[in-house]
Amino acid sequence: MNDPIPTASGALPVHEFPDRLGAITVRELRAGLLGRDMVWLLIGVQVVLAIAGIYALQVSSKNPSAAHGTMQFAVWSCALIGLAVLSPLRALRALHGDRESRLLELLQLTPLSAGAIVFGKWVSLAVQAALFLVSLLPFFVLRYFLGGADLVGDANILLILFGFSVVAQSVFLLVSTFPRFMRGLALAGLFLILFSLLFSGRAMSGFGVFDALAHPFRNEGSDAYWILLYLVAQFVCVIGGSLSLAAQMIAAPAENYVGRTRLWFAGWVAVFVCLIRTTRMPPEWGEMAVIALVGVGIAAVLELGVERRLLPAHRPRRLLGRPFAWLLLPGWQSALLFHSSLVLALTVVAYALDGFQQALLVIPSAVALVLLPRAILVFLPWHWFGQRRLAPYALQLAFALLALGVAAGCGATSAAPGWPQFLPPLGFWNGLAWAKSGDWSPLPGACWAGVLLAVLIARALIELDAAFDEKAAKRR
Amino acid sequence: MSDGTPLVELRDVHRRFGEVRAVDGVSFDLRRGTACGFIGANGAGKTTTLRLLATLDQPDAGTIRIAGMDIVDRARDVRRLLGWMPDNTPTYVNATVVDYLDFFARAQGFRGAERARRLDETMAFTDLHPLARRPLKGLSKGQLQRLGLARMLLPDPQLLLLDEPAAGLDPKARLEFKAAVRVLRDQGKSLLISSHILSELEEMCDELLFIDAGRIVHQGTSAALRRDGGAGPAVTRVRISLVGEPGALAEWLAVQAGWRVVEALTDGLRAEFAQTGREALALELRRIVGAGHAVCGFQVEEERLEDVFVAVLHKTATNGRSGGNPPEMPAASVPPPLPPLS
Repeated sequence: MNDPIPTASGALPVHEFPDRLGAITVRELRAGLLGRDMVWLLIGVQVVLAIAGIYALQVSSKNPSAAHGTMQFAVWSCALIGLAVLSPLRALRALHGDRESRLLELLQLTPLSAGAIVFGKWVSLAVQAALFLVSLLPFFVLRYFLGGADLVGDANILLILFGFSVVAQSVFLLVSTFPRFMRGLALAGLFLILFSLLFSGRAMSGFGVFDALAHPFRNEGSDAYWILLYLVAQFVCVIGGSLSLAAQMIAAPAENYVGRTRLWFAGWVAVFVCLIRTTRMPPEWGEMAVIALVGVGIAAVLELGVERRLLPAHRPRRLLGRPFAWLLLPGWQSALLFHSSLVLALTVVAYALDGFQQALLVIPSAVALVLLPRAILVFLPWHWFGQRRLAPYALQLAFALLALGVAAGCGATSAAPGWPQFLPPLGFWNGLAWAKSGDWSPLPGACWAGVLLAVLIARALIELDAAFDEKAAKRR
Repeated sequence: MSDGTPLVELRDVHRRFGEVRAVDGVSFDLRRGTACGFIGANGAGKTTTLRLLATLDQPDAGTIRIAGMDIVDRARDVRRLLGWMPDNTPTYVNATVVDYLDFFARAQGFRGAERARRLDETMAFTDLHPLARRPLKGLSKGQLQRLGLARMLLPDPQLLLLDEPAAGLDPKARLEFKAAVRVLRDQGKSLLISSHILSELEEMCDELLFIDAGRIVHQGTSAALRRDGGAGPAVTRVRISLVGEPGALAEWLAVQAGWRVVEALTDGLRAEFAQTGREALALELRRIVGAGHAVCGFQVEEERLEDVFVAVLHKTATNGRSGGNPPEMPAASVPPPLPPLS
C-alpha cells in the first residue's frame, strides 16, 4: 500500500506507516531530522568521537589508562552536552515560532487538541534525543576495548540521562509558549540553579548519587524496585504537568482549563513524598516538605503568572456546579485554594511524622511561595510607591534587605550549605528558621541577597535615569 | 444553496480589550448558502468578530450559534463546520506546497487514499498542482492566498470565514479569487468575507454587512443598501461627457433647479438630479444641449458603494451625536436562488 496514488500532480504518496502516527509528530520529525541544527549536531558529535577514538587507539598500547580516560571523557561529555543541554534547548523554540506566526490558530481549528499538538512536538523531540543517544552507543562499546567499560552501569546512567533529557524537554516546551521576557527568566533561572549546584559542592557529591543509580540493586537492595518506580513516576508527573500546562497555554479560550495540570502536580508531590520516604534522603520530613513545596510553589507561580499575563480566564460551563469544581477551574481564587490545600496537606503530613517544629518551618515557605506572588501582583497598592513601574523593584529591594538582615543576624555556622538553600526564595525566607536548626548556613542566602541587592540598585538607577530622560524629552 | 435558515446567529455579542470595545452589541444572522461581505474601517471590529466566529476568541457577553450550536459550549463541533482564512497565510519555513497541505490533511484526520484524494481535489480547485514541489518561502502573495484557500477547503467546511482575502493581490489573482468565491457559493457554502474593496464584495456577495465602532450599522443587499443608506431614492446620478472643458456646464448646472455637481472629471462631470423619471431626464438632456453644451455622452450611474458606505457612516455618526439610536436594520432580503451545482 505504499504505492503513490495517481493524481493530477502525480506526486501525492500514500504512506501507511506515517498515517499511524500523529500529524504533528510526522511533521516535526520530518522537519527536525532534516533541520540544519540536528544534522550538524549528529555529524559534529561523530567527528569529535571518531577523532577521540583514533587518538585513544593510537596511545592505547603505550598508555592504556590515558586512552581509557580520553574516551571516557569524550563520550560522557558528548552525552551530557547533547542530552542535558542541547536537546532541551531545542525544545525552547518548539512552540514559540508557531505561536508568533499564528500557525497555532490554524491548528486549533483542526480536530487536533492542544494536548495532541504539544504531545506530538514532545514525542518528536524525544525521538530525536533517542536517535542522538543511539548514535553514541558504538563509541560506548568501543571503550570496552580500551581499558574496559561497565556496560550495565553505563546503560543505567544513560537511561537516567535520557530520562532527564526528555523531562527537561517537556519543561522547555512549556517555557517555549511564554513571551520572550518570560523565556529569558526561565533560562536565567536554569543557569542560576546550575551555578548554585556547581558552587555549593553538590555537583561533585552528586556523582555519588549517579554511582548509586548505576547499580541500584547492589546499593539499595529490594528498595531499588520502589526507587526506580518512583523515579519513573516523577518523570511522568513532571512531563505530564509540563505538557498539560503548555497545552493550556496554547489552547483556544474555550478549552482553557487547568484541572489536568493541577492533578499532575498533585501526583508529583505524592510521588516525591514516597520517594523521600523510601530513600530516607533527606532524613527530616520537614525538610522534605519544604523541598516538595519548591515544586508546588513553582507550579503556583507559573500558573498565576501565566494566567495573569496571557490567558483569558474561562470557566467551562460543564464544570460549574460539580463538587470540587473549584479545584479545576482557572482563575486566581481557584489556584490559590488548590495550591494552599496541597501545602496544608503537606504541613499536616510533616507535623504528624516529624513534630510541630518542622511543620512550623513549612508554613513560612507556604506563605512565601503560594500567597506572596498573588499578593505582589494584585493586592499591593502600587500607587503608594509613586512611580508604578518602579514599585516591583522597591518591593524586591525590601525583600532583599530583609533577607540580608536575617542572614547577617543569624551569624555564620560551621555547617556546609546544602543546595536547597541556594534556591531563591528559600534562601531568603527560611534563612532564619534553618539557621536556628543548626544544620544550615545563612551564607548562600546572604550571597544571593547581596547579588540581588546590587542588581536591583543598578536596575532601579537605570530605570530612574530613563524616566528622567523621558521627562526631559517631553519638556523639550 | 440558500434555504433561508440561519447558519450563523449572533445575539448582542460584546468583546472588550481593556477599555476598547472592539465588538459592542453585534447581532446578525447569516443564512445557509449565502455569501456575505463584511465591511468596516480599520479597527471597526471586523477581525474580532470573525475570530469570535472562528472560536479563536470568546465573547464577554452575548451568544454566538453556528448551526444551532453555541461556540463556547460546543467549540469542537462548531470547528468541524467552519474554515478560517486569516489575512496572511501562516506557513512553515522549510515546507513545500504539498508538504504543507499534506500536514493539514493529516491534522484534519484524513488517512491514506482519502487524504490523497482530498489533496488532489483541493489542489486542482486552487490550481496548485504546478506548484506542488515549490518551497513556500518562494511563493507570491496570490499563490499564498490560493494555498490558504486550499488549506481551508481540505475538510470541506460549510461556513467559510475570510479575513481580507483580496488584500495585496494583483488584478489577475483578484479575478481568480472572485471566480473561486462564486464557485464555492454555488456549491452551497456560506461565506463571510471581510474586505475594504467594496465593489468586489458587491460582485461576489449576496448581502453586505456594515460594521462601525463595533456595531452593525447595516445589513442587506447592495440594492437595499443604496435605497436605505445612499443619497436617496429620489435622486439620479448621471455622468455627462463633454467635448471640451466641463467648467461652463458645471457653472450652468449650479444655477439650475434640481441639479448638484458631485465631481468634475477630465472629460466631463458627475452630477445628481433630484428626479428619477426617464422622461424628466430626457427633458433635462434636451435643455443642456439646448444651452449650447457639447454633450457627447449622458449615462445614468448607480451610486457607488463607497459613497453609500460613507453616507451610512455619516448617518450613524449624526444619529449618535443627536443621542438617537443607530438606524434600524432593514430586514435582510432573501437573495434569488443560486444556479444548481456545476
